[in-house]
Amino acid sequence: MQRLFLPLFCVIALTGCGASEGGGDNGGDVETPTTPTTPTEPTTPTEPTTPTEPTTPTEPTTPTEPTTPTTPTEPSSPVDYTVDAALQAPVSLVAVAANQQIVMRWNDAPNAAVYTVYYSTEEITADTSLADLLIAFDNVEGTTYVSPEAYLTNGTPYYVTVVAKTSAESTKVSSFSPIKKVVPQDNGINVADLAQMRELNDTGTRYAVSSDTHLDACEGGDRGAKGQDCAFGRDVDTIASDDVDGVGGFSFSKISSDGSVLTADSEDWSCVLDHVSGLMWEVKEAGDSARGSTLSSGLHDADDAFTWYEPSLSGSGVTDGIQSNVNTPDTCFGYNDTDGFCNTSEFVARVNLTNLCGHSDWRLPSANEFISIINYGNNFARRSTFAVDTNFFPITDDTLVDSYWTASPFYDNSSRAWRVYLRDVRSSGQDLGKINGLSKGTSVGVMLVRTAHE
Amino acid sequence: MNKLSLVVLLTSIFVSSAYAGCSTSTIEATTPTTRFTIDEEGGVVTDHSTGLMWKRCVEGFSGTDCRTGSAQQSTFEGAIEHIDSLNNSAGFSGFTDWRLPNIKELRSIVEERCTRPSLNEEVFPLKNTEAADDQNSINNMVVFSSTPTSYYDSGDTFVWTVSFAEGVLDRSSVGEYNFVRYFRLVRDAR
Repeated sequence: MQRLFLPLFCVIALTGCGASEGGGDNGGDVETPTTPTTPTEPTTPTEPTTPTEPTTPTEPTTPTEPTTPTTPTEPSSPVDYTVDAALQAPVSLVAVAANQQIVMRWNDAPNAAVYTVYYSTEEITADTSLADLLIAFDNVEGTTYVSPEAYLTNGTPYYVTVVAKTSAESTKVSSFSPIKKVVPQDNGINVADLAQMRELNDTGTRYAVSSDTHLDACEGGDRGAKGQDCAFGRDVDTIASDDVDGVGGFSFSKISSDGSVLTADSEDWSCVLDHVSGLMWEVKEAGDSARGSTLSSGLHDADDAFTWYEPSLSGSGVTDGIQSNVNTPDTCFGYNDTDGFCNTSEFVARVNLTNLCGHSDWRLPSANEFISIINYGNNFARRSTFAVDTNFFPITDDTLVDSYWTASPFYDNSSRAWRVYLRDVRSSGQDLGKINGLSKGTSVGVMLVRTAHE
Repeated sequence: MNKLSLVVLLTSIFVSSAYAGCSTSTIEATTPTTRFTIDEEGGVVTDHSTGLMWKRCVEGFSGTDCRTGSAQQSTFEGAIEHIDSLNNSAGFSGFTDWRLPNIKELRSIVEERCTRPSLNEEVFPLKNTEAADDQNSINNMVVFSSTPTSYYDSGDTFVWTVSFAEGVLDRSSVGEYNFVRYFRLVRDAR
């Protein structure tokens, strides 16, 4: 594979290493960076020998710049970058340590063309000045950074962050992505293997549980928060936990019917882009307790229900499902009793014909993809609460549907597929946020997804 | 009552043995071995798709095949205290930032084409073919997450669990009934 050559290249070239192609609709592997057209990386440290001792916590002055032992040439010095608050930063960053190396992956920030990777052996906070940081790589194309071999010192903590730029020439950069701390070590990890990793969405849970009550916050009680969900993850990251783009650690954008990115307060949107997972979701129209060929309000009626049916699976070994509900076939917009049935594959085809949000690659989500948008922190799963952020995924008490199909067949590949509960109208909240197997001939909701960013 | 219990027991044994295994020829793997870097000596695996590092064995078992020892069941509080104490002493495999996985993290290692257990045992070995006495319990293992939940308006206290019989999500009481469950360790591979 191409990606395996990357570290070799870096050793030879000594500069300009580590840029990689990751994001984009092609979802390509890491590519060997061609010789950089502009020599933009004067700060790339070439000798990892000197920076070995920043762990001695006594020198606040020296450790900031020791990794630039090469003659500091300043063509268009990145030190001149200034932060432009209007630029959107990556909201998700995951960094994994390996032997004298790290691999970093972040999300595609809207309007970003390239990214600059910063690091320091000193702790980075949202207020840290760019001038105090080192640049690991300037103008990364794509959303993955793989450091060159022997780039970092094992056992030394490094802080890393990424900023977005609208062009390689621009001297304006976004604020910091979430900041991660990594400690390189010889752990057998091949950095190239993780070039396509993605941070998992957090659960949305921001309270702790004690033995007798659910607390209002992530502290107090007889158990405190130590070790509980609320003490970890995106929702305790001051940068990732901005509630404007979704509660807790969620980070959504509303998308218009033609595919443009809208502001969070827009009242007319058709899809939602999840910046953490890279998935784009169909948004249902709020339910009104009415569905079927004459009552449905349209193709995306939240009340509409479908059997699980995928005729292309016929002969594959996976059960293809049930074409039409035996007892109640007329449960969706577009139903007729000859060639318009209410099943998952026909719904997918109908939506793709409309080019929803500018795309025609809509599909059923897998079980884990569907779980990714569930907000498990939505109160504590009481009756009439919803397991998603309703500011982005409007569901009402009037919606007839409570659970939704996934594409994932059940283990025994009998007649069941996995389904996910986003609300619970029947059993006092016991099912909210659950997933389990359901017979494919049952009619439940469908919420489509597409891969916006690999 | 005894008769009833016996029937229930026999039924559950029958069900578990009848369905144990993997539909490898028909259902696509959700946790293929190639998705993980396996460190046999260290007893850990790193997931290439999430950047999470897992302890391979469920807590209580050890060894490269996770067949040494016996699975540790604990209350939620006991699990959290166990991990806290581990992190404050020697840690595991050189790391002292282990924690319980949240419910999304825990569900991410379910192998959906397998049952009893719904795990890829090349990655997460389980002592499941010997020790017939606890085989049923282990293969149907219910594992704690760190994510709290409840239902009804009572505010009863539960946390989310994954049943590795099939990968289904459920709740276990941490309050009045204070269920005893298995647990696993995870950390960010930072």
